Amino acid sequence: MNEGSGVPRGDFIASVLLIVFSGWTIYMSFTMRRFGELGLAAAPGLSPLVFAILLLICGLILFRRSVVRRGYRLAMSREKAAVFLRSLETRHFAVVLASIIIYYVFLGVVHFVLISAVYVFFTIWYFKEVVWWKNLLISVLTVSIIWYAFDQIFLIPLP
Amino acid sequence: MGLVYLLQETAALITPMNLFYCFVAVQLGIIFGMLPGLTATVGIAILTALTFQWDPGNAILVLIGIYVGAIYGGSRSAILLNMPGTPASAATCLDGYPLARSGQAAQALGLATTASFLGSMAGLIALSFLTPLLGSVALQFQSYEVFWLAVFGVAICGNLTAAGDPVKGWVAGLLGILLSFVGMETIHGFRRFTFGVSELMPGFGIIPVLVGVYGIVEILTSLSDTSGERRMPQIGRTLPQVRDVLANWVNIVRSGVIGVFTGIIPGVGENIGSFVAYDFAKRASKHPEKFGKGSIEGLIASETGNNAVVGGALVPVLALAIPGSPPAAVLLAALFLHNIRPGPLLVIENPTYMYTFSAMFLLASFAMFILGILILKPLLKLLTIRKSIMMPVIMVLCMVGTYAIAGRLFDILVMITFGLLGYPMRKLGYPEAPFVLGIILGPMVDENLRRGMLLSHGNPAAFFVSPISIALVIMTFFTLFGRTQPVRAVFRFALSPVRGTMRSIGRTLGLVRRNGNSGSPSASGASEPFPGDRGEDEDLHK
Amino acid sequence: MRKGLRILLALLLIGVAATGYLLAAGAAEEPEVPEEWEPTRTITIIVPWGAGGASDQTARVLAAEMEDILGTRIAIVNQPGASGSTGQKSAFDARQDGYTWAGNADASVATYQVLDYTPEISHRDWQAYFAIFTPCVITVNPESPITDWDSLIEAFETRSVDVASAGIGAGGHIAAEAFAGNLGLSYNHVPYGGGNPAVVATVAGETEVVMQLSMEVADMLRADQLRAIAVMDDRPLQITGVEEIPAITDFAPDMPSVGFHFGLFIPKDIPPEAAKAISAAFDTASRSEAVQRLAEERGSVAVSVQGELADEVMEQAASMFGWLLYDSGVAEVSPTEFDIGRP
Repeated sequence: MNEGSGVPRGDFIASVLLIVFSGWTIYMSFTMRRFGELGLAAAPGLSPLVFAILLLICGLILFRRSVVRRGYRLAMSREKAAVFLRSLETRHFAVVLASIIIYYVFLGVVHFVLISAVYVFFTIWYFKEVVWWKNLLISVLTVSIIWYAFDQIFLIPLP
Repeated sequence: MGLVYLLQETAALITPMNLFYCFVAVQLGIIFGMLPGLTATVGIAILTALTFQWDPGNAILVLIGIYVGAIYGGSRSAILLNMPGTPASAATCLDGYPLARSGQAAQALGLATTASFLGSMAGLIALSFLTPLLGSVALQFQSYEVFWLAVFGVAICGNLTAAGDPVKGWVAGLLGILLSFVGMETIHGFRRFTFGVSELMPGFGIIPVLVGVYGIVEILTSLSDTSGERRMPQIGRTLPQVRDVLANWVNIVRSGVIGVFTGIIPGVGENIGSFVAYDFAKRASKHPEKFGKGSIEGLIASETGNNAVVGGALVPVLALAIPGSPPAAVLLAALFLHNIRPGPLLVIENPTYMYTFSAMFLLASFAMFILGILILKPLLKLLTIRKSIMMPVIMVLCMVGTYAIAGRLFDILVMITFGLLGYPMRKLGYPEAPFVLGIILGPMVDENLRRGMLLSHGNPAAFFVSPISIALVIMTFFTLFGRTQPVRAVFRFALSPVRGTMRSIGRTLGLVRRNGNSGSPSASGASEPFPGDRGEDEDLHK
Repeated sequence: MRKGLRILLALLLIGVAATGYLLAAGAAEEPEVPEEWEPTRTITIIVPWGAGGASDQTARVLAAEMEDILGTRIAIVNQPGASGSTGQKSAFDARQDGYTWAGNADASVATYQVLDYTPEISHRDWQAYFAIFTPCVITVNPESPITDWDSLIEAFETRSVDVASAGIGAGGHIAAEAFAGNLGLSYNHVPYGGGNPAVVATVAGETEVVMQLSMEVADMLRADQLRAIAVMDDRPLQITGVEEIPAITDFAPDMPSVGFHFGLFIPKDIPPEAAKAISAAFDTASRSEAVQRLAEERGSVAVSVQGELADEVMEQAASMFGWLLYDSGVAEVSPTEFDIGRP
């Protein structure tokens, strides 16, 4: 079990989170209601308990491994953090994620075709790879086709 | 005799109209399968409503076409986009996507088509010739056996990772299992980890989770990737190399048999069949290190496995009116609605229907193969569309597919949340496949463990009584500890006169099963329902 | 790129066009025009159970019949989970304009309150339209030593009999509670994830007895994979291809009859003209040949119950099922809190 990936720092954080999570699950499942005379043997908490213990073991293995590889040195220089935060990748990630969340929030409030077309248009526009009218055509057309196929033909309700 | 009936029924079925229906249905199924979120179950349910007033013959043909097409179609998006269209194709991603990335998309798509077709043929053999025989196998799998099968599935998790780090595979699998416990459980109706939120009561559905950890993560990853478009020149022919198929024939037969049996077991369907076939292929392979990095063997195993499940799952439908998988359950209901009553009486009341049904399945399989090869070239063009245009459209489809499952906005929130969980998981090398498998296995393990306890009045010894249980326990043991030194040493010592290490046992499994299938499939199949049991037993006896 | 996109669009279009054709082939008959309430949109039936179950089948057959009468299309959405309470709630939370219905059973809807699943929605908020009645049948594995009523009682008195059911509060569980409670017996309750798995477990011999709905056991009885002892009703049950099943009241006269009514549930607050149109459409649909055939095949009884009669059925179900669940400790909220009287 000594092979593995080259992210000891990430492993260290993950293992700590796993240990906390499994510990909490063990506590929760231990206190779950028990039915009948069998007690824990058939209680709803039985399986969460067992699997949380297994996860705890895996978490401890990871923890040990990452400590051996000095994964606990988490200190991050201010410059590095700034570079990370200002990098194009981080910005893209944030914009994509934010647009997805805004899309979700407006689903069901605004008509499906409108909000979806706006979402597609915005994302394509943000990455600036197509002329705007082509972009508009693509977003409106694809979304309309999707809407027509699902809502009108298959009778699948759309948000 | 059976073959004559099957050919007769097939010949009777081939009319221009039927062929048209069949091709349209299969194409529709492929589209459903490709789209993230829309599964075979949803496809069959929708088409059941649309074909309600049709003549039963055509309606059932369309539904079978959808089923076969959808399970196959999932592999398209798995290979091209690293987004399994259905949970059944999650194992296909493991090797299909790396193949596509290395410029061999055409070959991967072609091989997956051939493998799916051959898997369907394995299913067809089971369905048309062995239905009465295999039907009884379905009843052998009860709480204890299904529990061990699920445990075996958990053990597999460590094997489903490309990084060669089994611990991360298990962590992903265990996390999936624990998250699957959220919601109201079936035994006592107790609400676990819901914190009074009524939306959490039904738990996390497999589809929102699947679309989240594959679809959303892929969208986030590829859109935030700044290293520019890497357009891999695509090489290779679309028609699969006969050589590749022939070299894998043991693998294909093995995966086919595994798929058929997983299909037959009630409640265990495509989603698990492909994972088990993949795991067996990896362990029997001469190049297990290639798995997860674009192994043709792995791709073939997964695709053969999941399509073989389709035929297997229909066996108990016909023999006992018990569905072997979730889509088969809807198909069974459709049969009832069309006044066809499968079950033990079918053989008496309508003896040829089994062959009519099989003939429809045969037709659908051929349609799948032909359409699969035909649409292969245009599909490859998907790879040339710019990510910034393709991904937002896929995002819309993810939303639609996830919402379509149950018409709940909450499912979309679940999907996005799991996407956010999946993103760091992928960055840190935790594989998605075992996570998804864990979500599927969690309720199975939980329900059957506690029901077994209720049945045995709290006596765990009851879990070790039936031969199937013991065989599964042994298999689980080898999966977990087969590669560790002490176990290997003991076995090398015990088995040195015969073969030796675990690797060869794995290989023997393949050989023994091959013999079993070509020689007398019924004998080996019926007495030892799970493929693989015999290999180990025989080696131990020698 | 544009070429690729065109192909993607073309693929989608092919699918769309093909389905359009399929539909045109399917919907040959011209729908009738209703007099007053004319639905302008698609009606949605939320079935809060999996596709293929009893609620689902009943809803689908009714939907197909009512589409033609109401002159609109009816879509079915399966929203399973949490014993159907989540889906039932979302049908209630949708705009109450007559375009969103639920497809469920009386006993389920009547117990969501006492089980604390949806404490804010009463079964009295729903107008029920029942099309299928299916009583619970006491059946045993054919290899079991239980062959008739006397041996059944003897088995329950002398040993711990495993009784399978579709889960807490399911038909098989309520029937077993009623049976054991009425006769002062005890048993080992083994819940499964649904009616079908419970019946299959009994066929396979994992459990000895199952008391699920006649709908779920009919085919296994026909194939001699199960043996029927009695039906939990005051009338004997006739399933084609099976000997008449004696009524339980022949053996235990005080036994309540336990069965499920399947049908549609529509909030009472919808516009009155919509309710009127739906009521008329249901009346015709529930007497149609398709519903008769479904009932005949699945070993149940076709009924056509709506209006105040349906309210009465709901009230009875709430009282009997609610109190049984409360007395056996499954439900934690007392039925009296919701003005549900003892049966």
